[in-house]
Amino acid sequence: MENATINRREFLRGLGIAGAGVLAATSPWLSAFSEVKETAKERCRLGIIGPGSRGQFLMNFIATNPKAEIVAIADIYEPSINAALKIAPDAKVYRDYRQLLADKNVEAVVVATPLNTHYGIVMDAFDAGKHVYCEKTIGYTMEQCYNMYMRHLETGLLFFSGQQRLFDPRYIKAMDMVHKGTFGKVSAVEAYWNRNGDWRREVPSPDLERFINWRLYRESSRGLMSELGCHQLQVGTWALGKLPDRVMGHGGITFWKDGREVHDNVHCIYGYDTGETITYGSVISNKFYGLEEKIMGNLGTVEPENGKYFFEEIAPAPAFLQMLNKWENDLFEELPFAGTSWAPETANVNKGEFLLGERPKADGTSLLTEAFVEAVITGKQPERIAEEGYYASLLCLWGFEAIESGAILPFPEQYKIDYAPYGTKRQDIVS
Amino acid sequence: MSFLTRTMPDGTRALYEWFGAMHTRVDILLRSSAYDYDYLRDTVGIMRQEICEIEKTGNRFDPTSEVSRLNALPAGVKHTLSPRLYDILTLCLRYNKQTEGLFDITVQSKGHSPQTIGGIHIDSDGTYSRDSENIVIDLSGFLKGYALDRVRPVLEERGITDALVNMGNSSIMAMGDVPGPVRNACLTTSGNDSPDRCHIVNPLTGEMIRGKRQVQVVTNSGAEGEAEATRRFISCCL
Repeated sequence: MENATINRREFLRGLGIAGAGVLAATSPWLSAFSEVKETAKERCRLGIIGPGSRGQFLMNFIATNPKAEIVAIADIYEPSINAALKIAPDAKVYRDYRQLLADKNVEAVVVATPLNTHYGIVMDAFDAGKHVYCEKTIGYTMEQCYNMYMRHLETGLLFFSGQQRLFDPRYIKAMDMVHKGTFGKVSAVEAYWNRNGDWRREVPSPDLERFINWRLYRESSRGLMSELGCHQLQVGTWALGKLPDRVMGHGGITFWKDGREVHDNVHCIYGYDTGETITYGSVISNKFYGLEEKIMGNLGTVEPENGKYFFEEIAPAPAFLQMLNKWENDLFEELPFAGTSWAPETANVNKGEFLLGERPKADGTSLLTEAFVEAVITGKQPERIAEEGYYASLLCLWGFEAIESGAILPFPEQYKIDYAPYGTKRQDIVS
Repeated sequence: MSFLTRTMPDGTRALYEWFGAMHTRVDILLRSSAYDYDYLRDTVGIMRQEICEIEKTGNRFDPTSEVSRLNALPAGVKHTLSPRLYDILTLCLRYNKQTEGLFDITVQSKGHSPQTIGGIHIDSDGTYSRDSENIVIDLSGFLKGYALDRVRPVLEERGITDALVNMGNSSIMAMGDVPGPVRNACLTTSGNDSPDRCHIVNPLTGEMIRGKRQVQVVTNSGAEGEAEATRRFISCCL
């Protein structure tokens, strides 16, 4: 998705959720915006560590935020520095991230470096007293993730990870409906992210291959599980409101046999003692089914990425949906549904309904970065955001280990934290 | 049952719930600032139960329904009616008179004539009998409106003042502050939605009424709306 932004007013209106209380109950991390008026004249000073492609993507949002100033960047790759300076021309440039961390003018850092470097940088950042936004997956191992999360607790410094779906209106709306029981009892979440491409970046010189294409090599990456799976597994636990009990997986290099070391084809099954399942798959030699998380209840299915939901039996009546969505505006002067009798055999094909009444404009990245800026200004860690990010990382790394070992792995109890994934008991309703 | 919710900026809750019944769809929209969603959903649950019981009583295509038992009853044999079917049949007989025979629940009978309906008898003791086994009672054009009248007390008893109930688009009840041209009334449609569809029989001639045309009536009672819409539709075609 391009750098499309939505402002908070559009965001709230699109959700159809009124009032801070209702919003907090739906997605508690949105409390990041609770003091947005009071912080109107304040500004935070950010440093970007690793302004490569993802780092620049984030910078584009931050640079348009009047409450944020990118005061420093750190990278060892000159083309990335030059590109980043076009976004933030006044930023001070460091070749060593430790120098940036020593810069007293920097309040908080955004870490968008290769996966295997996150741990050292984030731990150093906490030691330097900086708030941290770290791209997902947060750590290269589950132990690293655990240590990072614990360090966040010990220091009291902010810890965000790049789980933009937490701020994506489609996902927030979908989860509100799931947790209200709209789709009945959710038994399975089928998540997949398929592409048809080699997942490579252009390399100006062969000696930069592992540096530029770090995602393809085991020393620096967990492959598709860490780079793509992290987003979607969190959607599964968000919907089901609990952690799985075991995982099994399989992967291989089946098509892109070009010297890469990570799989181009991965699949994992996460199982619950109570029977529910989250499946995750990613194939990068076929894009037909693209990207989705299908949340499957006995009454309906929601596809948040597609922004649509489907009921198992009769679809909602368009006129009633319109009424529900626009009632507050008193736009109704007629009953467009009144007429001769409706009969099942004349019903249309179930094409589903849009979660937000229209096609989505943007994912949650702009709001996620905005939330981080707000949190840096207020110094308040929004509820549950670090925990959701932590478990998202843990789930993908746990799945990676299952693929590597070929074993059915129980949940790693030693990495459990004092937190249950967000969800309510309403989902247990079967109407 | 499938449902959707919407909380308005002032805290008012809107619940939209829908399901299949009476070979059509039922859409129910409730609005309330006093009750939570669980209460509103429970209310719809009671309404649905009432609608389903009416269907179970009066659906002639269900061989286990009470009206099917009447349609299988030997001539001259008495059947003690349930209070619900007693109520339905006495209303239908009254509307037959009021519409001068144009609303006729025996129109599907073999060899039907305007006098056929006179062959059914409902006694003061609540029993039913018929003169001929050719008599068939068909409540298809009546039950939806009747159901509207039966779910209204449910809403009133549970303190719901704003509601919209749609029985298959052709029988609609609006209560209180809801969108649309009718308020605290029922809107009933009778007719054919396409040139090819015909399903209403003129009881005076026994012929299907053809052509794309329809009439709408606004009444206090849904049951009355069914009879009156039928009367006007057939009258238009005479």
